[in-house]
Amino acid sequence: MKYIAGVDIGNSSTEVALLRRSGSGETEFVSDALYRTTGLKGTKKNVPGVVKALTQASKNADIDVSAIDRVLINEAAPVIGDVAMETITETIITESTMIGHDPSTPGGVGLGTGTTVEITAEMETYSTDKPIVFLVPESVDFEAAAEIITKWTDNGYDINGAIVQKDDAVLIHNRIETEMPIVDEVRKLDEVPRNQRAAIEVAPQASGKTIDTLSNPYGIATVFDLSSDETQKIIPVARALVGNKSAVVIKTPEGDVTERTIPAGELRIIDERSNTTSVPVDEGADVIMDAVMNSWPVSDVRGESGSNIGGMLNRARSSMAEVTGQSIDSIEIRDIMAVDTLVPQEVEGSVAQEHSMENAVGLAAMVKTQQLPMQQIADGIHEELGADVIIQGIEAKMAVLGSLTTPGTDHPVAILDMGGGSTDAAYMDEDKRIESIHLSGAGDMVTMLINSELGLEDRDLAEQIKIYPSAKVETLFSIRQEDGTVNFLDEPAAPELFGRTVLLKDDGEMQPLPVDKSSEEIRRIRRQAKRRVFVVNATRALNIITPTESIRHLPFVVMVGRSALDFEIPEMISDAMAEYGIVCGSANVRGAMGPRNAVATGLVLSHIEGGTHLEFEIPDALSSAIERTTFQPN
Amino acid sequence: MDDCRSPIETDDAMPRLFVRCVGDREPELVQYIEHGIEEEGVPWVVQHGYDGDGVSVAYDASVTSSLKIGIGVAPDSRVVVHHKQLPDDDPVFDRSDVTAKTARALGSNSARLVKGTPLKPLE
Repeated sequence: MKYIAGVDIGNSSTEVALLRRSGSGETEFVSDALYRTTGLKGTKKNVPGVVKALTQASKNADIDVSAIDRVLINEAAPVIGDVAMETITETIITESTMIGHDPSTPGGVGLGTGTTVEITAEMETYSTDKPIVFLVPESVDFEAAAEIITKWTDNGYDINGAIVQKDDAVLIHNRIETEMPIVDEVRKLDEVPRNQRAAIEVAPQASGKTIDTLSNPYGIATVFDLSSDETQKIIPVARALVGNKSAVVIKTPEGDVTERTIPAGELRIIDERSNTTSVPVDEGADVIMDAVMNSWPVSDVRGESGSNIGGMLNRARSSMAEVTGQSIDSIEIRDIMAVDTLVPQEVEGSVAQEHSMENAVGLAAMVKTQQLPMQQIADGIHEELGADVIIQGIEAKMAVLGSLTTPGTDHPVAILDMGGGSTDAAYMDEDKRIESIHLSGAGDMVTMLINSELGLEDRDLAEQIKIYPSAKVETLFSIRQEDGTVNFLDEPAAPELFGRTVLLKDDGEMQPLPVDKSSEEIRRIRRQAKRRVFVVNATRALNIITPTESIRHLPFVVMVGRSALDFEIPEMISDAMAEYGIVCGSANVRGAMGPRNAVATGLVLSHIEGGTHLEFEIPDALSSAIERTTFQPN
Repeated sequence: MDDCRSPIETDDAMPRLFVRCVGDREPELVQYIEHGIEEEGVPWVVQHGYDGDGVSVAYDASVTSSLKIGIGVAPDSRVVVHHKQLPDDDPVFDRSDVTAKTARALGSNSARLVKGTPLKPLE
C-alpha cells in the first residue's frame, strides 16, 4: 500500500489530491484538501501551507501524514500578478462651494436664492432689499430657528432658504409659514462662506423627480447670471449634482471650479522584435489594450516613474526579483490588462464630503521570470515530512491532465484556469502536445475594481462583495434578492440590518454593507467588474492559444481554478462563448471535485501514467518527472 | 384617551403611528419622540391613560396601527418600539433611562421602520 499526494501551490490556495496504490497496483483517490497558500507562491514560505494541506488530506483519509510515501509538486508558472489604479481626472473647487449631498429628509420644495447669513445675526445690520439664505448651526434648536425665520419674514425680509447643520429640515419647515427649500445634515456648516450668493434647490417630494436647475449648467448660469466663460467652469458642479434630491451652490466672486486631467504617465510596450509602442495611460483602457494586442507577444512593459502605474510595475518587478534571486533587469512584464473605471473621489473644496465620479484606469500586470526556486520548496517538504518529493510537471500541463478527468471532455481541449492573480490558458492538440499562456487580470483585479468603484477602501469587504450575492432587508421578516424574489426569514432580522443592503453568506449570515447603494447597483458594479476582466480575458486567452488564433475552432473549453467556483463568472463566460458555438463549462475534476483540484489531480495522474482514470495514454513527455529537479533521497 | 393630538387634521382613514403613554401624565420625553417622527414625515398620534408595562402597551399600539409599528412610553423614561408581527414579549427596541437624544432617535427609527429605510444608530 502506497500513498501518493499531488500538491498544487497556487497564488492563494494550496490544494492536495491523495491517491492510494494497493499492492496489486490498483489506484484510488482517497481524499483531497485545500489550505491557504503561505507566503508568495513559489517561495520556501509555502512549505508550512503545504504541510498543513497534506495533514488535512491525511486526516480525511484516516491515515497519519507520515504514511504519505511520495509528494508530487508542480513547477509553478514563474509569473505573479499585481494590480494598481490610476485616477486620471480630478475635480477641484476653489473659492466657490457646492453642497451636493442627499440628506434623507430635506424640507420644503423649490429653488431659493439669497445671500448667506448666520441665523443668529443682528437683523438691523441687513437691508430688506436683498434676499437671504439662513445658515442654522447645531447650537440653534429647530424651534428657535423657525421663530427667527418668522420674525425676519414679518419684518419684511425675504428669507428664501436655509442650510441646516442638524437633521432638522422638516421640523423647521413645519413651523414656518413661508414656503422655502431647506437642506439639512450639512456637517461642516462653519466652512460655508458667509455673505455670498447661494442657491438652494429641493426636488418636489413624492414626485420621483430630482433637482433640475442646479444640475443643469445653464440653470446655474441663470441663477447666478454667469457669462459663457463662467458657465464652462461650473460644468463639474452641475455634473456632480445630477440625480440629487437637494443641493446648494454658493458662488464667490473669484469662484472657479476646474476639472483637471492628472498626468498619469505613459506605458511603453516592447514587443519581441524590440519595437516600442508608447501609450499615454489617460487615453484609457481600449487604447492600451489595442496597443498590447498589436504588440503581441509582448516582451516587456515599462511605466513612467513617479506615476502609480510605474510604481506598480516596479513593485511587481522587485518582488519577483527578490523571490527568484535574479537581477531586477531580467524580470519582464509579459502582459498588462487595462480596464476603464469610475472612482468616487472627494471633491476638493466641498463642504459636505461630496464625491465626484472621476475617470480612472485599473491595470493588472503579469510579471515573468526564468524559473522559481521550486527545489527549495521540495527540500523543505522533505525535511518536514520525510517523504520523497518530486517535481512532477509543469502547472499548465498538469491542469490539462486533471481537467480531462471531467466527464464528457476529450482532446483537443482548451483549459481556462482562472485564479486570483492571473488567467491562464492551455491547449492540448490532437497529438497531445500542450501549449500554455499566462495573462494578467483575474480575481484580484475584480476585487480592486469593486473596491474602487464603491469607494470602499477595504479590500476584504470588496472580496466579500465579489463572492456573495446581495439582497435588501425590506421588512423585519423578509429580504428581497437581486433578482426580485422575496424570501421570508425564520427569525426577525436584527434592527441594524433593517432597510439595508446585505450580503447573503453561505452560512445564512447577512452582512450589512456600509455603503448607501441598492442591491441592484451592487449587482451591476459586481457583474460589470467580472465581465470586464474575465470575459475579456477568456476571449483574449482562447484566441491566442488556439493554433488558428480563432476561438471558433475550439471544440471543448473547460474552466478550472478558484474563480471558476464563483456563482456567476462561469455562466458569464459560457454565455459569451456560446456565440462561437463551442462547448464551454466548468470542469468537474474526477467527476466529483468541480473546478478545483485539477492540477493536484493532474500531478498524480502524470506520476501513475494515467492508470484507469484517463481514457488515453499519457505521452512520455507528460508522464516523466522534470529531470533537473528530481529529488534524490539519500 | 380622547385627548388625541397630531399635527394633521384628525382623519380616521389616515394610517398613523401610535405613541401611547402609561398613566395619565404625558412624560416630557414624548415631545422628542414626536420630533423624530415628524422629521421623517410619518403621521402619528399621542395617546395616554394606558395601564400595563411599556412592552404590552407598545404591542397593543402596533396591533391597532395599520402601519404595524407601535410605541409605548412608560415611567422611568422607558421607551418601547414594537412591531405587530413580532412575539408580544419581544419588541424591536426596549430602552430605559432614555435621554432626549435617544428618544428622538427612537422616534426616527419607528418612522423608518414604517418607511423601510435604514435605522439610525442608538447610543
